[in-house]
Amino acid sequence: MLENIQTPIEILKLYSGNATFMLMFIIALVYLWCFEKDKVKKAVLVFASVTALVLFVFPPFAYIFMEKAGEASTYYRFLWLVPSTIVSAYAIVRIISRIKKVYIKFIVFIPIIVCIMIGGVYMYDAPVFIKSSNAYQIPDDVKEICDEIISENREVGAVFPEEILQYPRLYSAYIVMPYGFETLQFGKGDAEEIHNEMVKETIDVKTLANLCEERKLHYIILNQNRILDDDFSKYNFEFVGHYGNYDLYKSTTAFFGQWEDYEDWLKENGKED
Amino acid sequence: MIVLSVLVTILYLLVVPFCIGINFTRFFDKKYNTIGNILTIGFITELVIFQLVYLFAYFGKSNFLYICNIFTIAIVFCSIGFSIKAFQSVKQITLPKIGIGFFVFVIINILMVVMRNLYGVNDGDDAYVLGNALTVLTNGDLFRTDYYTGLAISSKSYLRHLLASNPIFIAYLANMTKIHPTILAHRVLGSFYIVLHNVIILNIARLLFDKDEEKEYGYLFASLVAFITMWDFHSYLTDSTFILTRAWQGKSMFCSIIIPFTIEMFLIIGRDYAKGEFPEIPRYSNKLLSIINPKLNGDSNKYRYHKVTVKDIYYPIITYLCIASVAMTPGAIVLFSIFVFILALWTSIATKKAEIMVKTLLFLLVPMIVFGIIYFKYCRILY
Repeated sequence: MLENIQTPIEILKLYSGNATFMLMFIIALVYLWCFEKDKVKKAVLVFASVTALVLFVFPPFAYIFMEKAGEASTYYRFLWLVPSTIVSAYAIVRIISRIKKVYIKFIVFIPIIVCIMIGGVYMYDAPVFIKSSNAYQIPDDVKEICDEIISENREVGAVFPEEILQYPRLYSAYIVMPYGFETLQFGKGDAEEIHNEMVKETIDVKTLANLCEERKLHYIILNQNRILDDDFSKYNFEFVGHYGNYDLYKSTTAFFGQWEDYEDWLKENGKED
Repeated sequence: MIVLSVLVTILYLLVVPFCIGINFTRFFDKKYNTIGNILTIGFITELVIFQLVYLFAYFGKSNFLYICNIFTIAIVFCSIGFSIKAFQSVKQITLPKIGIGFFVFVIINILMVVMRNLYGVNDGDDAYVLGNALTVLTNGDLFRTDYYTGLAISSKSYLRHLLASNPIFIAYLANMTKIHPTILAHRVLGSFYIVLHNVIILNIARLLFDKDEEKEYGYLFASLVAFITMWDFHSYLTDSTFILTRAWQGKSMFCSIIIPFTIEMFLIIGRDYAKGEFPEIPRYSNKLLSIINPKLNGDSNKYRYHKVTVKDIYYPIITYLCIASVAMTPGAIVLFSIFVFILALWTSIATKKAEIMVKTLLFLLVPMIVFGIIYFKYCRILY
């Protein structure tokens, strides 16, 4: 989202969205600047906010942060230092408090609330929220998959699709993955080859299965919208079942037992560590 | 088992902060000693102690178990040991006035907590925060396992969040409460931090509407801030979005606790300096004190105590906030420093007291320089 941002003004635009609350904040600043009599309140709420805003857009300051320190993608956090919500609410309540008659207070206050509701964007309608259906607040599909693959007191290796990469290790630290969420953040990881195969529309089953077997992974989880060019069972992975939008495949060659039995298992199967 | 988990959670999030926070009441005037302020400063102290224990443990090559043991001892000592003394000299606590405004404020808080529990959030940063907490809790070591994958850490880049002890704090709470870190963070801590944020806003309200005829507007202000926060999803970047969507993450805690509490502190500092009213604390007299203050000579009570005006208590709290903010996010080294600098500058100008600026800088810069050095030596990665 912020990769292509070049200037503080662009960040400010992105931060403010439809700009309604930014406008309300600026009006509040102007009002308090003109009418707030208490010097300390004015200093802490108005002058400090204006200073932070001016610093934010001040080119040399922005240059040091965005270019020199390489923090362009996190420079928006500087805007957190501007207490816009507090300032806006204070100005509104201060205006209300100066009105003498109660019914006029209501006449002024209710339209302000309506404006906030019309101009604002309701947080709980945001796409970032998902209906919570389990105690962990992670997708049910992921929880069911994790319940299926977790082994008692030992780690299991599994490769997950990109869209659910962040969840498995919120559920259990015994799930080990060849690449994790940092692949999406920084575009790097120790298992780029597997990642490259997993993101293809049409999965090269042979290549993916071989790479996972080399890594001694126990499971492959694939989104059902992926097309498979072959059958996993030919390459030592068996289909376990459907879990919501995902299919689970289990290795037929990996070691699933407890570590104290590992040496015996190697001997029985004629394998080397 | 569930009952025990609930009790331990209440112990760590309410009882311990309250017992620690009660120590600070003697340094402040009664009007500032609200339950919210006591809880907030107690909880921040809890974070500060944890941060110091964690840093000593990490650089001393100790493990998570060591942190659990030392922190538990420290917290028991602070909350029980100090509070025995504090309860002896505790000043009266200001209780909230129950009225329509109070109920509206409570209802908005309940609504926020219910929504926090009804809705989960699809956020990738949990892979670090809660992934790290669960990894530490399971493996018992610090920054040896890649929290994203579970493999051994192979790059220094994983240490970029080293200074932020928040994930380890979640792991500690999970260890003590026996609640899974993900459930603990998403449901318990998420709700707790949102309410704590609103409580700090309510305390700011008390300072903004401090005249007798204005006090009724305090709840209206606090409720309005909460209401605006709920309608402030103008982008993924706003502080409101962070506070409501991922309250348990350090960045959000910085927005929800540190920023408003710092504003509150400077409103108090500015107000007390402007009025010249500073808290008085009882301090035991001694011979040295009687030499300094000749008025005590010949007084039969000279070896008991007299009241001393204290205004320097504000500045150690700035240092507290420095340490707590870095425990939340390493970015606070820069952000918090700039924020405090701006606030101190304007408060100094407003009150015409350069002392505020000088002392604030002293108490701000010393810890931040230390954190800065640690960060650049151990955590800074050039990609």
